[in-house]
Amino acid sequence: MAVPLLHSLHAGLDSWFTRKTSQLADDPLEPLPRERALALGRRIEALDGPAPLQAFVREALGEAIEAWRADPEAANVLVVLGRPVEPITPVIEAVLAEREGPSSGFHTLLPCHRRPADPENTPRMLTAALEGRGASGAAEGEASLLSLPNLDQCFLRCIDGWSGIERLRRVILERRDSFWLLGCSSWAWKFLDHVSQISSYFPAARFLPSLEGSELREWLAPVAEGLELKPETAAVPGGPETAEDAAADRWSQLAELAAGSSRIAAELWLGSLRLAPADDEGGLRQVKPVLPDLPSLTDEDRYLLHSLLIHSTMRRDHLAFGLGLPSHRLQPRIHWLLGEGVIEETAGELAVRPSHYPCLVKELANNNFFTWEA
Amino acid sequence: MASATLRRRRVRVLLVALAATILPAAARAETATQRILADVTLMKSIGAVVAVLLAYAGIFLIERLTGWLSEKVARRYRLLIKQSVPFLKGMILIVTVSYLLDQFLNLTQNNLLALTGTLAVALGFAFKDYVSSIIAGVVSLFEASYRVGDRVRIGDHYGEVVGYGLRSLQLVTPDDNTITIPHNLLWTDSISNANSGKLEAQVATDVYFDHTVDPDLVVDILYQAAYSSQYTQLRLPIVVVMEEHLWGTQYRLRCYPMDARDEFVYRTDLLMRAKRAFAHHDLSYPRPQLALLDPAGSSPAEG
Repeated sequence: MAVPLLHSLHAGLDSWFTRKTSQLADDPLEPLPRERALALGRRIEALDGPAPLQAFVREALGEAIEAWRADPEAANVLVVLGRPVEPITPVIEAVLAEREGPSSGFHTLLPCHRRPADPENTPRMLTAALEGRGASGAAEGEASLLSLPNLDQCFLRCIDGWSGIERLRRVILERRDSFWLLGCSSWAWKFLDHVSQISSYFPAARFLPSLEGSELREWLAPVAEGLELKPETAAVPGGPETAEDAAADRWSQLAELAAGSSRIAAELWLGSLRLAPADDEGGLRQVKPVLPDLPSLTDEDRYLLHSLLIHSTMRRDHLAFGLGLPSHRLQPRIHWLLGEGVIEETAGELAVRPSHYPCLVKELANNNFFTWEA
Repeated sequence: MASATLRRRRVRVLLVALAATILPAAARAETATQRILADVTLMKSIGAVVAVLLAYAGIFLIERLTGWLSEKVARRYRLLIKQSVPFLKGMILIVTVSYLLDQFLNLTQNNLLALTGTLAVALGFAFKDYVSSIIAGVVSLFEASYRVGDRVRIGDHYGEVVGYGLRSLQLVTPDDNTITIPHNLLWTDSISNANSGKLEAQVATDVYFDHTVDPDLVVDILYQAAYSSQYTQLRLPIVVVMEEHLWGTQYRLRCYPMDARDEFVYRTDLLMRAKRAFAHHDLSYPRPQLALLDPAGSSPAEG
């Protein structure tokens, strides 16, 4: 127990030292104005999923379908897992769009990206979708390939909240003439494994790969190219020899801090952009990325954030329903977390801010919560 | 009043015994090494006072600092910090007592024998219970029958161990009362420890139904109540057991919260979730009048 304590202490001190050094160094660079950061954020949102992720899913899907077609006893399902802050649906949809055609026959079982407004309808949503296709699965002449890219939106942590998932499990196991492509957040998968041992039935879940610095650079290139980023400082003795080496180092640091996640990296990258003063050539600079500090959390905050990470995104009333609390008791903590920037709200859905995810995972693991990573 | 008189009488006897043992020995001593008591100088006296004050301040600081720090760090490290308190306090005491003995006594082999004889007489008369508690405290440190941060039941008292002193431990009950219990109860009383140095402690939640209720449905709801509670430690087993009574069936859900401190709020959460589902299915509760016929005498209210 003492060794992780020392590691945690060391990592904390290192991160604190980096931040304080940059604060004390009388940095002439200024953070991006909020409007400009938001505009850049929107451009990143509009980007396609990183090509290596699509390539990974494409290859895994091709192999799994080939194996299933060759051997009727082979698994008829491919589960793709990702972090809760990393949307899997766009990646899966992009791969399926490529396969569109009369011969591919992939059909999305439940195109809904969000839970229904009434939380009690969440488990029924998936059950109804499954029953809508008839007890025998695909109707005659219909495609025998089915996708469900957002499994984490099909359950709620409450009594009877994951009955739809159990129904899905039974249908997949019974209907071996259909192939299923499922997308799910790793935290939701772990929860479902705890409550219904789902990985015993589908052991071959594949986790999206971590991206390297160069891959992140390539993915963000359409946004970065228009910004005319300048190197941060002149080369230092013992440091990288050229500006290109220095930039490669920055991207590698970014990939390491973001644990290879594109969404975390995108937020950290935005946070590392600085505006140079007008009298110093002006323009944007990319400085060393750092993880933002987590504010001091209460036990109630941790339970709330853990629930959000299990469900990836949630409406406020769903969150309260799942936690078994009246909504008015949760609202103050939600507002505080929104104010501190730990969570964000988009179209009525709450989610953990990707840049806080790495620290939050450590925080929850240290407080005896189950996490995917720890 | 009678016990105070008795105690005064014992102290008087002790002083007489001390004088009878130490003073003649000191008077007979020819050399400095043969005397039990060393020369007492002003500097030694000041040093002793400073040592005692430093020890007191050290113990005070350790208690405050560890108490504050253990509530600031992550749960995983809370018990580690709390459990270090008795050892740190013990170290300070050992160092201080050793220093004082070295300053004021000539600890030769003969002197040590004489001194232990004296102490044995003194302790036998006046401080028997006190020393018994101290020894029980030291034994408990190594037996780990209870540690700071554990949730224990000693006699009629249940609560979290928040203090571990030389003579006694302090429990804080769920009603926020602090109870001081001497360590020497370890010799005679049984001690029930719910978490034994771990963060999790099992919570048992009872519900009761009529015999006509579908047990599969009740068991399924209880499992789901435990799985869906945010407090549940999903890494640890969840079990439902049943017991038959004349008046109905008792279902006991056994599961663990992530933090033993949450046990009461956890049980409440489990019951709230389960009762909502029971109400939804309109399950019948047992008939209390049949409890009167139960030869075991247990009723739904008693469990």
